Parts: sequence; C-alpha cells; structure tokens
Amino acid sequence: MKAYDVLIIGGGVCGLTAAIYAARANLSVGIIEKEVCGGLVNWTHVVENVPSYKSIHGLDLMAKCREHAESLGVDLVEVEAVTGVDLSAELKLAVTADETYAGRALIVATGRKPLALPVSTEFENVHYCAICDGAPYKGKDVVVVGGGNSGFDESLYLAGLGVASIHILEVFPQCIAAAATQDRARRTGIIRVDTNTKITALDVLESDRGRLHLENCADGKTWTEDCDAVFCFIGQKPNTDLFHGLLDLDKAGYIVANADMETNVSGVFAAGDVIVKKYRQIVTAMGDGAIAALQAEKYIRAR
Amino acid sequence: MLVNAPMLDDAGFDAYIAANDGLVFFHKKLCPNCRVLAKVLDKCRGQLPGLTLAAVDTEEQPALATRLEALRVPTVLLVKNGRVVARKTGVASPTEMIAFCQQG
Repeated sequence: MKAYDVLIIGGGVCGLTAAIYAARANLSVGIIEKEVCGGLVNWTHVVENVPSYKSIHGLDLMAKCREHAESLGVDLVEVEAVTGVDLSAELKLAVTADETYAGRALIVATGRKPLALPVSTEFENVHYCAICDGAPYKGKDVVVVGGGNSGFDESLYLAGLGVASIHILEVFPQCIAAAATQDRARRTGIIRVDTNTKITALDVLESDRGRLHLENCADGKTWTEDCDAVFCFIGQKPNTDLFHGLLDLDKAGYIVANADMETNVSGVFAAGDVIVKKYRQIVTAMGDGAIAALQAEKYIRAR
Repeated sequence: MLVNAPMLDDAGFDAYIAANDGLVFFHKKLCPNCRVLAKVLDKCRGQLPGLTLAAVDTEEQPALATRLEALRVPTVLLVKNGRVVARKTGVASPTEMIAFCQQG
C-alpha cells in the first residue's frame, strides 16, 4: 500500500492545483489519474481565458501545471484507474488493479467526461477529438454537433486542417461559445451554424458518407444532410460512478460540497468540475483545488 | 513523446521494420489521446522487456502516414518480419495493448 497525507483522485487542473497547495504545505501528496494528467484542458485546442497567458494550447498549459506539481515532489500515478474506494475509516483508500493507495485526507477531483452522440448509429466516422481524427477530412464536409466552446474551438482547428465545410448544429436556441470565438469561426467563411437543430438519426450511405436526419426543435421541420464525418462536443457528465452511495450527489450525479469543498464524509473533499456549481472554468477549478487543499491541510493538522 | 524510441521517417521506415519487430507509434505532438497512449506504451515496456518501440510524427511525416493509412492518431502498428501484421487506432489500456503486442 502507498500512503500519503493527501490523496487526490484526478489529475486535471483542479487536482494539480490542489496538489501544489498541499505539497507547499509540506504534506506528502499522491495523484491517481486514469489517463494522463491534464484532464479536459488537454482537449482544449486554445485556452485564452487564463490570466497570464493570452493564448496557450491546453496541452502546453497542463504540461506546465504538471511540471510545477512534480517539482514539488508530488507523486503522479498515471494510466491507472481507481476501481473502488473505501471512505469508512480514518485512512481513505483508493484501489486500482495494481495497488492500494491511502490518504489521511482525500480530494476527489475526477472532473467530467464527454457525452456520446445521442443517437445509435453504424456510421464509423463519429469522432470526439479534432486533433486526433481530423486529418483524413481535408477537403471534405464535416458536421460538428454542439455550439459550446469546445464545438467552436474544434471547428476552428478543423478549418485550419483544410476541411471543405463545417456545419455546427446546436440543439438550443443559442450557442453558448464565447462571442469572440463564434465571430472568429464565422469569419473563416466555411463554418455555418444552425441552432434549434437536433439529430434524430445517422445512417451510413453506400458511399461511406453519413446521412444525418435533422429536426428543427422550434417548428418541427425535418430534413437530411450528408457529410463525411461527425465530430461531437455536446457537453460532459460527472465522473462519479465510484461515489454513488458513498458521497451525497445531486440528481445529475455531481458531488455536493460546501464552500470549503467538504463533502458529507469527514476527511473527503471534492473540487472542480465534479461538484455541484454554476460555472465550470479552468480558473474556477483552480480555485476549488486550492480551497480543497487548504481545508485538507487544516483537517489533517487538527487530528 | 516516447522516451528512448527512434523517430522514423518515410525514407527509413521500410528498412527499420525489415530489421526490427515491434510497435510503431503514429502520433501528433498536440494530440491528447497520443499522450495517453504514449504513457500506456511506456507502461507496457516495463511489463514486456524487449518490446521494441519506434515512433512517427504524422505532421512531420505526412507522406508516410498517408502511405500506411495512419492519418488518424494515435495509431499503433505491430510489425513482424518486415510486414505490418496488425494495427490499432485510438486509446487502449495497458492490458489491451499488451494483448495486442502478443498476438500473431
């Protein structure tokens, strides 16, 4: 068993910030991350709302956060998924296939994961990462589902790859992406946007293209559209499967935490995108992580 | 991205796989899934001593990526006796990747 003062599940920007604060308080810190540290920020092509960086790639930003944590002696355990937790005793436990990890305090910073396209389809060209999967679609027609920051950001990346056309579909009446990003997308001349539009089916054509069946949510009008690929960015859901029945969750599965990031279990803190909150931004996740670490330190010192 | 793995180019690829069995990892520098798979491959190397790894940056070697149909990344090719015998695109767990390495 590996034991730390503060054990953190999740190595996104919240978990790394918590680790930095805890390590600077001379506490031993371990982070367990099921993929690689960086979380959803790794998937953000360009970050332009973190003070001190006018513009930085998400992977580069998180590499700096990771280096910062490592420089303070934080133990980063990556590509190791937590399969179970025991929060009942003084020492909180997290179990993986390889090891059992323990912490005098536990910070849950498991974040969120992308939602899948909400229709069942045999179409193979449905993707969730433009950087990973966009290259084969140079000169082709793609549909981007989701008019949030991710949808527009990834559309701009696809435009840069040289796709022929991009059609962004948003189910709600308005796109919620930052106005500046929407303006930049429209200026490309190849990106068009339809709101109030939902996908009801996605068929595979003999040509291997896909045929989207679309419906206008406002007036009920239906139509079809053919494309070469669909990229889906319709939001996220919380990574809280491990904590059902152990921590208080809201109806959507987010962890209920107070302003000090305390959960209903003493010694267990939750922070970042995984908790019930209104705004989920990089800097709010950092703030949550800092509070959770400071409160965890207070909890440990008091015992 | 991969530590201690030679970076291959179009000119040297065929000669390399003729002389080396193992995995060739196609990636991009700013691809998040590639970072995950690189870490998975590092872990596999710890569990499969002797596993030979090489890498191709598809943005620096677009002709090679196109020739081997590895434009989507991460893609891993399993090469044996100078031939590509299996391929896998996308993220895999260490267990899945070890099973992939041991096939054929």
